[in-house]
Amino acid sequence: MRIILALYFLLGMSGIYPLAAQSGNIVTITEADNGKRLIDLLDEIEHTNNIDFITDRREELEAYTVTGVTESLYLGEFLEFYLKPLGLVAVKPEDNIYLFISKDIQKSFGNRKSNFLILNSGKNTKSATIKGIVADAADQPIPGAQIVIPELGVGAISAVDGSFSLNVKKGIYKIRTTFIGFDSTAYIVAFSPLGKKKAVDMMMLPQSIHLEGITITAKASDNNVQSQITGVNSMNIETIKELPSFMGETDVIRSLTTFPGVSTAGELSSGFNVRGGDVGQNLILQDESIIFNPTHLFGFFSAFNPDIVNGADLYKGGGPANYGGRISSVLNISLRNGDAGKYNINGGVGLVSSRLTVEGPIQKSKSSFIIGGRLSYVNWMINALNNVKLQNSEASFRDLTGKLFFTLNDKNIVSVSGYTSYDNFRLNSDSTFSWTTQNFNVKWDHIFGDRLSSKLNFSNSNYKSTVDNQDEINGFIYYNSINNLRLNYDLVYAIDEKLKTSFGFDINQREIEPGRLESTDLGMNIVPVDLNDQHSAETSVYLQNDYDITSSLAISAGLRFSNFWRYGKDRLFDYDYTQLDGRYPTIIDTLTYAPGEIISYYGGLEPRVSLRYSVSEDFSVKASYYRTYQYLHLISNTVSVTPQDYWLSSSPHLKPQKADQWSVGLFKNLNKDKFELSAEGFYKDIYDAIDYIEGADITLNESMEAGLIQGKGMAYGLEFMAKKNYGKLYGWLSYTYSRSLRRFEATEEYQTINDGKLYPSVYDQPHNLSLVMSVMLNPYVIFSTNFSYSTGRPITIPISKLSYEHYLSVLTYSNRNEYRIPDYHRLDISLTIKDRPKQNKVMYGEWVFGIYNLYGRKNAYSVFFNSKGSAFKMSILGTVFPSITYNFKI
Amino acid sequence: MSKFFIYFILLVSIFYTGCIEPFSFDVENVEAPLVIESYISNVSYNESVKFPSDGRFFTTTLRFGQNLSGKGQNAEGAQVRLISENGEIWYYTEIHSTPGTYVLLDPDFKAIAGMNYKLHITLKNDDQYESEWESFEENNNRMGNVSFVETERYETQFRPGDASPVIRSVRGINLTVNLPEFNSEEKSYYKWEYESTWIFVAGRLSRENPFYRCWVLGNSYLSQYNIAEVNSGGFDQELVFINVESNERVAENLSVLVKQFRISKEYYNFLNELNEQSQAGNIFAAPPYNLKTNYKSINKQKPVFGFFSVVHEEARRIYFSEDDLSYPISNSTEEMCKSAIPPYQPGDPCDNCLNYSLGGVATLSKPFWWTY
Repeated sequence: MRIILALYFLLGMSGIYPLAAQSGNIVTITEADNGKRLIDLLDEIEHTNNIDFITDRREELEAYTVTGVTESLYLGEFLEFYLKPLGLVAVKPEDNIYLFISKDIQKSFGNRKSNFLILNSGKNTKSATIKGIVADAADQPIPGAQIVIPELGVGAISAVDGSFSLNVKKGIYKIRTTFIGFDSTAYIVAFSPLGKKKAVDMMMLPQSIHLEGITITAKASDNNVQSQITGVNSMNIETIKELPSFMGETDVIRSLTTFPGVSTAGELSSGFNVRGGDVGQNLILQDESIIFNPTHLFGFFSAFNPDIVNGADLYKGGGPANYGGRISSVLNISLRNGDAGKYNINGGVGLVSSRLTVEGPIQKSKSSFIIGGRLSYVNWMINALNNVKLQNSEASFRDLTGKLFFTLNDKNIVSVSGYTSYDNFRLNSDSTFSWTTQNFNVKWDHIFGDRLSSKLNFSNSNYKSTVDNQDEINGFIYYNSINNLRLNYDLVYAIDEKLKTSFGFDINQREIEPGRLESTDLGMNIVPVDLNDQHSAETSVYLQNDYDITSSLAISAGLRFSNFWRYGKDRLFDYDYTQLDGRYPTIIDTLTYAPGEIISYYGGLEPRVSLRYSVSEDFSVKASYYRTYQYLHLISNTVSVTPQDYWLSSSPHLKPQKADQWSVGLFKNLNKDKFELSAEGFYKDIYDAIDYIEGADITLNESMEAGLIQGKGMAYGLEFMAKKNYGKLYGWLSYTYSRSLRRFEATEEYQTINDGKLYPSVYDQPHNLSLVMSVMLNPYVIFSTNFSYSTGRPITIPISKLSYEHYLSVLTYSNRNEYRIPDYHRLDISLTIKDRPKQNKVMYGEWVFGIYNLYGRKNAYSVFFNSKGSAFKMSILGTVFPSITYNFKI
Repeated sequence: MSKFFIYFILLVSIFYTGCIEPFSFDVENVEAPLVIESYISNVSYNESVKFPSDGRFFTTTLRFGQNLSGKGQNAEGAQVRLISENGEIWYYTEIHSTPGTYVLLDPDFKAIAGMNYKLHITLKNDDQYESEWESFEENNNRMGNVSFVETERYETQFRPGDASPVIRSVRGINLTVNLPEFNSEEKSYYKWEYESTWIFVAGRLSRENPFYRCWVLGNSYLSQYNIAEVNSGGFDQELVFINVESNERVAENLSVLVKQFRISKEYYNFLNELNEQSQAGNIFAAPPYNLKTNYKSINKQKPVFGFFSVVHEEARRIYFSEDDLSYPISNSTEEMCKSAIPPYQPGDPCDNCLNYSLGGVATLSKPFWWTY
């Protein structure tokens, strides 16, 4: 078979010359090489130029003879031309190494060098050992991961330190790693005496397959376009730590709000809002346990210890089908395993809080522990100041997070984690607000074989909020709490490389104390109130399939069937909604339920589907649809979100909320993934969204459900993001235009808000912009800055006043949420100075200097009104806040 | 060290210098509501005199609310009509000395139990407003005796020399009213108002001086009202606490006319919310809301506020003095006035009882009903 090179050039293909030249600019093929067998020529080049051509199709190459070379060709040009008819392409993963692979493989793996692992091996040996480490994005080893070479049908399980080894016949193989909770990862492995690698590092990313979301992981610079993960903005935990922080405390939640579509209800407000949703519409998991309040100190700090957090995935839709129960987002925070190889101590000392984490092996390479705590010491500073108001104030928090990890054998891994936190806060009053979280989790990962694995998880989440007033006359203690038991089981079956299916169930049992008021010993005027506890169960079964239909088109489809039961012991009222008793519908009957007796049932199918089409290697288009149900509701009828907000179960009078969300996005990477650009649009319908009747009194009210009304919610928006992944200057700019609207229109006037017209929800912030930028001044000094801007949130204000009888000032109010508090903007900066590495140095540290709110903007935390209607803007952080923190690792 | 201190202050400021400052919203084109205060009862003017009291006609006051920085205006020149379900109409007459105040000048008019009434108002500019039909029922209306019981309560007080508020026990009396027992499946709603009158003596004058003794008609003392939701009667309802220490009003004689109104549930809810809304807001307060009214604009979409109530009314008068207490106290204005150090300020009530103005208007005329 002869090929006429001259024709090639006549056809004007010389346009690829520069590219070809780059890949072989030393070796040239000349007219003198005409007539040689191709394989002989390649051998000759190998010998004379110390080059290795790796191919598993040598026999086919032997049939070719070089001809038609009329002028000197660079090696790259020559190979490209000659390999094309064979369906092969040459990639150059290392200097002097050319790997001949099929076009299909090239299409899947691209030309990125990091996708091709060339292991060093002897030239004349027929077999070789593939050794390596499986680790996650934070370089934490992943034990129990499956490493498989499908072509050979061989595989291994990574040990507790993530290591593995496989003895194979030398060749070119696709090697794939899978592990529960992570995306499967694949590389091409080959062997060469010129290879520089002795072992391979297999990096895995947390699973976020085909879902809208933000994955705070690392290194996946082309993740948003190339991988199965769709709609992803990536940021690793180290980058979070580099962000300017408030008082030096790294804050996962605040970092999330720099991404498009994520916002906060107010400065330092508890929780966060995703795509116009309520704070209570986010499912927050830490190692599978539900976190009901993700903040410390009224939102000043996040509840998550950054030294133990492994990574965080935020799904701006419903999440994969194994997640459910919330209609806005899923934030999944995983804790890392302790180091099974050696003991480490790390921590940080700040001016308002400090933290310490200890980790190490229990049984080397088999099991480990990690435990870390944080403690604030604001009180001594408050008390030290000779001020009456401050001396009657206190604020503190502490938390402790721990995890045990055991590798029982190659197929079984067990981990146990726990989390406890306590907060209290008192500001110039007799009332102390406090809240506690106590979570516990046991997880068992089991591997059935190369393709089937499972995860069984049991967790308990307990949240309790208290207001303690020690007034001598009106002293009281108020409680509300929620306890959630969760059992979930997940089976993952990888049918082949292109199709993976997972299925399982999720069972939750809840006890809610909606409110209890007790008098203190001195509180003579307080009449005790104890609302009935609410008992409920929520179960679901699900099936999720992720299928790469072609190399360009992928689909991820899931179906979840959720069920909810509210059951006794309980006592509920029946209402006549057409007859009012004051503001509330009239109670016409009292219904008593025996223990275990079903009060109400709800259920529904929750389909989810996401499509990704890769237009090119660095450009993809994605679209998705989610339906989600929420049976648990966060009730927050105060001007600000507070820890005292409480949860309610759905009931005969309180339907579950349901959401349908559609989204479409474009994702483009530039300059070898150095830059990422994305634009996403979304539209969300919320059914049975919750708002409150005029004058609702929902605290310690047995008829509280009657004070709630349900209507239609809708949110839509456009999210843009531009990101520079690496370089001396890196960071991102995100902007979101979105609206979050409500419409409450009913036959009964009291159930109608703003005459049934659309009105903005409290979380409606049309413009939201974040600029995050870091400059690496040198490898050990990083300067970071963060600028945030958002439209002021809606508010209802007094618009006129009048006197009536002996009341000199009776206020009349605007339509609900008709006005807005002032816009919010803030600039923070920080400087991180790391120790330079030195031999035999035991402790490494870094200083973090920060200034929060650099230009001292008095952003409104809230605007409230006195009885005369005068407005007052309250700025919690109305000035510049410098901070200094020292972090260390031993 | 000083730099550290500055830095320290900055840090502490998170919990303190977080500032609260006045703020204003740009509110435009807000039309102030017409505010209507009006009620009628089963007690006519002539019957109210027999409480005993000075008597009162039924009045309606009309004024406009105001924007938050402005001042409201009285609604003068309006036509105010009371209409019964029988089609009878009573016209109110505007009192020119107090613009915006309209009086039903029929000394014998009183509402009839079970009869529906509504108030109709036409302003000068032809804006018309009307209340809903209202009535009262002739049951559960009885008013028992008014009495008082000695009590004490704890109050948080600042006193000179105190660094912080101190809880103190304060002695006083609780006015109570007996609610006769009644059997009803539905709850009953009550409102109590108070008219106080007391004697004030100018302590530095001789008892023979014509300006020594005044009767003070309280206009802001005990001006509050109480409301209650009652399932069944047969108990003494606590009404209002009167401090007997350092209270010159009880030094001589204090008379309180306790008026009991049997009101509708809707009016009760209105008053309850009115009271709740008067509490100052804070960042953890529930979102605000507009109060309900039973008036509406009938020919234009104009805002209006108020509650027209038709109630059953009954009253009892009680007298009280220090001598009625089981323990001695001294509220002698004479001693207080005489212990003051000269020079005395002009207008000092110790020199002329007519100068007294704490919570009322002093007069030398003894009310005709004053019998104590």
